[in-house]
This record gives sequence, C-alpha cells and structure tokens, in this order.
Amino acid sequence: MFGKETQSTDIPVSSQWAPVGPPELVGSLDVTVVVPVQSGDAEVRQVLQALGEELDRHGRSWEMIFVFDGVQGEAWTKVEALREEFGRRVRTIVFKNAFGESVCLSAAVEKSLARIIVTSPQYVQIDPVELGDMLDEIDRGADFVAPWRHPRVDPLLNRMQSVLFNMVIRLIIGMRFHDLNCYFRVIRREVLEDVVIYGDMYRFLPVIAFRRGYRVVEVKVRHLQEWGHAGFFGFGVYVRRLLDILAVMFLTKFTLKPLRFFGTLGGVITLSGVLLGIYLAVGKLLNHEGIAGSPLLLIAVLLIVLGVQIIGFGLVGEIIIFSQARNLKEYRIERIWE
Amino acid sequence: MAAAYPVPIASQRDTPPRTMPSTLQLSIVVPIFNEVQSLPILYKQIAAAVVPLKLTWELILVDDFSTDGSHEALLELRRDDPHLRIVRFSRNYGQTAGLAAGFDVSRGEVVITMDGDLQNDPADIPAMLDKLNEGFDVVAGWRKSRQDGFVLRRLPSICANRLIAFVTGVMIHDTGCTLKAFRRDVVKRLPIYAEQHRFLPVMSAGSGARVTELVVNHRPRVYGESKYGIGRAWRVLLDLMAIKLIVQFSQRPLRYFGVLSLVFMSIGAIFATAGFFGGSSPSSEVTENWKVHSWTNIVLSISALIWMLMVFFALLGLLAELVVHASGMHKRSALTRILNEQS
Repeated sequence: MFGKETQSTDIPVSSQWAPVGPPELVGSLDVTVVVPVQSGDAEVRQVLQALGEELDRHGRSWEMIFVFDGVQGEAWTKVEALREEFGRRVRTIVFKNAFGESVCLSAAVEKSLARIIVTSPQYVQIDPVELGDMLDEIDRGADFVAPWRHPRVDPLLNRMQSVLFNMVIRLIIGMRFHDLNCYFRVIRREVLEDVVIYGDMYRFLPVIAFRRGYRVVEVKVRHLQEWGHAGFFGFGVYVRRLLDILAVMFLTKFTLKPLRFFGTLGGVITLSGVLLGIYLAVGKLLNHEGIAGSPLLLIAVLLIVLGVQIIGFGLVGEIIIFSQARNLKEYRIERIWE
Repeated sequence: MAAAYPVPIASQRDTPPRTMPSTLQLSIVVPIFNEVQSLPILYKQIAAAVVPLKLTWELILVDDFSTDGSHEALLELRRDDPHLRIVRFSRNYGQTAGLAAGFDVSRGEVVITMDGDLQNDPADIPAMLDKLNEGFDVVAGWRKSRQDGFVLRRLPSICANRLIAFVTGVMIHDTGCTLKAFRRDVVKRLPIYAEQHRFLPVMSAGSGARVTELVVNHRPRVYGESKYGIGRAWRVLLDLMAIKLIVQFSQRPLRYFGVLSLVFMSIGAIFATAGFFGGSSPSSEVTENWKVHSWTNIVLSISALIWMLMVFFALLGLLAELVVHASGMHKRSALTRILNEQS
C-alpha cells in the first residue's frame, strides 16, 4: 500500500544491528514496542517519545524495535540518531524487500527481550495514555488487547468502509471485534510464539488468537490521527479484503468439517441444477416444448456436475482432516487440577 | 491466496499424549458447562456407584469455561476427594472438545463418558463395566425411555440413528447418548474432533472394535437448560457422508471414490444409450437432417459431462490415497481382538 523507496546499496545487514539476546535475557524487560516502518516519512521520534514516556510513567522497562520493511531514507537517519540517544533501548531490524507487517512482527518477536509485545503504527495513532490501560488488561489476565478507535477522526468515507468491513466480519465469524483495522495492539509474548502468521493475516491477529483459545479483550481508545489512503481504494484492495473475509470464514467455521462448507456450496449448486431440470421436464411434458435445442438443458447439467464436483472436494477435505486429526487439538487447557 | 493460511488450531503442549500407560482401572469423564446446581448431586451419585466396586478410579471434570460459579463448586468438591481431576478450558469450546480433553488426560483402563446435567444415571456404570468384561470394547448407552419431547428431540434422533445405521451398517439405537464406556485401546485410536462424539461407537466399530448397547436409565432434566435443539438435518446428512467415508474407507479412500466414479460412468452410459437409441428412433423419422444432429449433439455433450465426473472422482480418489499415505495413517493397525481374549 505504501510506495517503495528507491533502493540504494548501503542498507545495513540486519543481524549487525539487532543481535539475538542470550536466551536467559528473554523476559528481562516488560515491554517491547514493535514499529514496522513502511515509509520514509515515519514519525519515529514522536512514536518513541510518546510511548516511551508513557511506559516510563507506569514504571515498565521497555525497548523499541523499528523494523524497516524494505524502506530507508529519512526514517533511517532519524533512527540512527535515536539509537545514539537511547542506546540499547532502540533496536532495528532491516529487510531488503518489503515483506509486510506479519513478517516484521515475527522477526521482532524473535529478537524481543520482553514478555509483552506492543505493536504500533509508524505514527502516533492512538492517545499514548491508553497504553497504560491496555497493559493493565494484560495484568488482569488477558492474552491479547485489541484496540477499538472510538470516536474516530479519519474521513467519514474511510470510517464507513471500515465499519462495514468489521460488521461483515462480525456477522460471519460471530465474534465481537469492532476494529480489526487498528494495529495498536498489546499482546502477551506466548501468543505470538504460538500463533504463526504471515501474509495478510496481521489484520486478523485478534481473530486468530481468539480462535486459538487465547483471551482477547477489546478496549476503547482515543483516536488521534490517521495516515494512509483517504477515500475509495483501488479495486484490487477490495478483492483482497473479500478473499480475506472468505479465508477467515473458512478457517473459523469449517476447519474441522470441510464437508459442511463444500457440501453446502455444492448442494446448493446441484439443487439449482436439478430444479432447472425439473422446470424443463415439466415444460416438455405439459407443453411439449422441445428442450433438446435449449441451452438451459446444458446449463442444468453443468450446474449438477459442478455441484457434485464441489462435494467431491469436501470429501477429500474430510479425509485430510481425519488423517491429520491426531495433530489437531480443538481446545486449549488453562489448567489441570490433578 | 485464501488457501495459504495455516490451520489455526492449537497444538497443545501441556497435555500428555493419549498413549500414556494407564495406571488406573476406571476414568469417568464428564464435560461441565454451567451446571453449578447439579454438580454436588452428580458427584455424590457417581461416588455412590463407583466406590462399592473397589476399583482404582478417577473422575475427570472438564470445565468448559463455565460462567455460573461451576468452577468454584468443582474446586470445592475436589478439596474433599482426591479422585477428582479438574480440567479447565481457556474459553468455551463445546462438548466434543470436553470429551476429547477428558480422553486425552484420562489414565483409566476403561473410560466412561457421561453428561453433566444428571440426565444420565451413574448407577448404570457397574452394568456397563460388566458388559465390557463380557468381551466388548465399546458399550453405548441406549435411552430406551427417553425423557424428552417427542417431536423436537426424539423423532429427529430416531430418524438420524436409523440413517446412521443404514449408511454405516452399525446399529446403534441411540448415538446421541453421552453415557458410553470405552476400553483404553479404543480411545487411544480414535481421533475426536468437531461434533463427532455421537459417531464414536460407529467409528470404533469401523476400526475393529466390538460394540454393543446397554439400556440405560434416562431422567428428565431438573436443572439448567438443554444445550441443543433441532434444525440440523442437512448437517447430519453431510456428517454422515463424511463418517461413511471415514469409517469404511479411511484406509482405502480410492475404493469410495472409485465406487462413485463407477456410478457416474453408469449414469453416463445409461443416458447415452437412452439418448441414442431411445431418442434417435423418433427423430430418424424426421426427414430434416438438422434435427437429428442437434439431438445427437445434446446427448453427446451431456454424456461427456457426466463422464467427466467419472474421471474427476477417480482422480480425487487418487488424491485421497496420497493424503492417507502421506499422513502414515494406513500404517496404524486395526484394533486386534487378542486384547479381549486376555481379559
């Protein structure tokens, strides 16, 4: 979504700047803030100051990892300056190409020393004061704190699209998330070590965490500003969203019963073919209409054949799930009292 | 793109594998969801039924993230009796997951499952154990005199059970009854997922277990609310197709798909025969040539479509074989009967 900067050759090697901490150091800090940097004009200093002050105020030890997602330019010099100022609290990971937020997050978690991960956009999107409340939710037993920008300050058109998207998601997966498009999240480290994400799944992280059995809490937060594209997006963006919704639907409802999904889809298509056939047969018998030349006959047969094929896919899906069932666990146990 | 997402189901690290050697004689698994009122009674009745048997036993109560104080009640009960083991889920997962978790953590040579709502009578447990000792591997409860509404609960269940028996060839009158007894070897072999608990006896029969039924007591619901209703005929039908495939053909899926493939081949053949011989005789009288041609075309294209299904299903069968072999499932031996002869 963000324009790529022109590539130059002086991109530092990532491992040089973010050495893996010794394993015993993992958990030595309270909070790691992960900021995927996706454009050269990222407000890295503002983010660091806003969140850093807030974390200091609550007496939490912290570090901040900037992940340069195939981006350098101005933001890089700013982070260089910050590193000199803050020392080891500021760390960087650099990707040569843009891999997207999911990969940024995974890479940062690998290097993180803290037990809580905060993900933040590259600008101060949410009133930093909210961070304290969100961390408190973690202390109260939540595994994942998702934000809900309320009220929102971005243009009405964007808001409406976002609300619509979230409504569709809520309807489909039957979960009560109001704002999946805000990436200011507070997450327990174990969740991210357990949940493997990539591609466009970053957006659905709360849904996936919930699905895996983690306790996801939604907190209303004050929205300060919104970057990014205003108005309508390109056609491809909507197609991608639609596919995302499909994927989430499939994953949350039918993973263990693929035949329920394929069978229903195939059943509906077959049924429509059968109904069309009956309509033609009735026309033939009652009115002696010739159906041989009618394209409807072929369409009816095609529908039936297509539906049966889809059901066949579902059957193979069932075989796959059954043969893998040993490795699938539907539940997460919180505790066993022996 | 949509297919690239991994399956988000937790692989549990802190549960012991089901193959752990059993150290007790009897495990009773009861999934609990918001049953705070019936819990003390349930416990008393189970204890009254099991203690006189002089067995080593455990009672596994799987708390499906109850919100009505059941959890505290469970911990209270456990304080007085070390036979209780309590498993608490991190959120609500439903009955099948509860049973699966119970099976996973159970240590008994025999595992008995039952409902937490007092509709099953724990007094039936000794009779079920006797049945197992007669040489059976699975004993399914049969609520012959069901205490539920006829139209809404019993009629759909009768239809479903008849259908299951017809399709799978294993007659279990009451697949929906949770009170069931399993030998450990059966439990170890059965993957339990989705809403499959009702098919467990049928599935274990498919893997070579001896399955029998026992008429059990069924009591009307006193506390709490019934947790499911009707309105799922289509889903049962789909589940049945899957169960048929899994029970009888999971070792050799190519046969299942092969049979379907042959069915489509015959349908196509019948259609083609009827089309060419039945259909062409009247039109051959028609002198206009184009009419004959259009009819032939139609019959040809429709038969070709149906024959495509034949090829398609044969290929799907091969794909399924591939899946089964890749998973190593075919190497797991079927349940042997030697175990029964020992007892």
